[in-house]
Amino acid sequence: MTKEFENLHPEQSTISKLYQSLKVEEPSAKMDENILTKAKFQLESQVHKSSKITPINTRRSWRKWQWPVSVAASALFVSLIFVGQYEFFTNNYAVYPDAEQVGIEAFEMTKPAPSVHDKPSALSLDAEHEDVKVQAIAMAQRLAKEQTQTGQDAASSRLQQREQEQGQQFAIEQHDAQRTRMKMTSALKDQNYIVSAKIAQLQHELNTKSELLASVNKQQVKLFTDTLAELTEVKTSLAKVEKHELEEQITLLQIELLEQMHKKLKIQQDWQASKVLLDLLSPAQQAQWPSQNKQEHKE
Amino acid sequence: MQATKIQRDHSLQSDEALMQQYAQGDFAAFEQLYQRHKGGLYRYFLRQLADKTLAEDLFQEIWSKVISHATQYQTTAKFSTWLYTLARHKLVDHVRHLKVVAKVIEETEQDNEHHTMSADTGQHNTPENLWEGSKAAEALKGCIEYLPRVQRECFLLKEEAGLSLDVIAQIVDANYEACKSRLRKAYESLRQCISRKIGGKLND
Repeated sequence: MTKEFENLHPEQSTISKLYQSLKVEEPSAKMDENILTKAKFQLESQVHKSSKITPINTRRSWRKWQWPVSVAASALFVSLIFVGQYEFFTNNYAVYPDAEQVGIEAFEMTKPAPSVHDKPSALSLDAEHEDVKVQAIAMAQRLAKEQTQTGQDAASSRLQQREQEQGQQFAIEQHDAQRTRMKMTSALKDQNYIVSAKIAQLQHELNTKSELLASVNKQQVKLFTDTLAELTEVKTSLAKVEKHELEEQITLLQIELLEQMHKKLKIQQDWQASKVLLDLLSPAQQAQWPSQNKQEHKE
Repeated sequence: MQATKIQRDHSLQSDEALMQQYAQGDFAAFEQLYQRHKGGLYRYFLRQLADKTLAEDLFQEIWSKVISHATQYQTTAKFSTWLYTLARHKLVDHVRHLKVVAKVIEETEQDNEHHTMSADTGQHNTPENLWEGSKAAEALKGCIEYLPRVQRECFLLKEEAGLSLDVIAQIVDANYEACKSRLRKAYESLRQCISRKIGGKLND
């Protein structure tokens, strides 16, 4: 018993002892046997598995060399092809003098006419393809010549001739296909050029229109500002005219009023006009005012 | 002579070393390991479930698991901790599976926490059983069944597996203090229960 349990309860040791005396139940012998058998079987199956694993490991170790061997084989194969087709890759006429001779012949045979070189690029490409074609034919002829030189029998030469013809046919087909491809490419280039030109034109039009629109906007703004200024001026002048007219009307009304007053004063001689009213009269009107009335007024 | 020596060597070795030896193909190591833990684990299930057949099934399942996982066993924890953790998980899974049983168990626990352990212990409390062998020991046997599940679990891990308090706490997924409290209550409840059953004070 560990020390940490001693302080849990005063009766702990008594109860523990009692419980230890109860430890009589055990799993049955059959169960023990089952479990132990299972454990043994598990071990045996593990051993069996590990023994099965061995050939897999061997195979795996073999597979370790799979890639290096493959790479080496591939490299060897490529090298063999290169050595076999050395002439094709390098055009080394020193090693193959016959090839040089044929090459010169082919060159001589395919010298282009000056008129062909003067033509545009598409035509010059055609001429190049023509060269290739002629070279292929010359190569085939060279092969035929070589084979003839070796002095083989007539049957084999016929066979070779057929092969040569086939080679020529193939070269012509290749040439035609290439030519067609070139034509298609040039057509596409033309189309591309047309489309590019169209795009540039549209771009230019767009720029012009946008500039025009900007200038129209400016003019509109200017016109609006001018109109506004004119309107303001008109308004001011109208106000002045109205004011003047009103002043004239007032003056007329004043005169009319004074005339009426004057008439009234003439009728009522004893009426004494006030100074305020007299001040309103003009000097001429004041002069017309009867002197008698003035004297009476003074008196 | 050599076999005896190996046997003696196995008896001196730790559980973890034995497990590793078994994983490497030593069957005797497993035998030794099984002999050490079979009783404790079996009684752990038996006292928790009070059903011999079910306890045997779970016991067998746990050992099967130990056997099948022997190669993956790593000595990061003590073997007994691992073994009883597996056992507890198995027990919890079983109880969860039988929800009705779990409900009944919970109700019983609640009753037991509120009431004293003076209830009739049924078959275990018959006069025949009480007078056979130690009266107190028999009473204890009956009283354990009436302990709340969490207390009983801690008590059995301590008494059967002899595990330390922190390891028990780790297995039952509780903190140290809670585990200590559960054990203290378990001892007190058992003391009271036994005293009532035997009709006197509990003596050594």
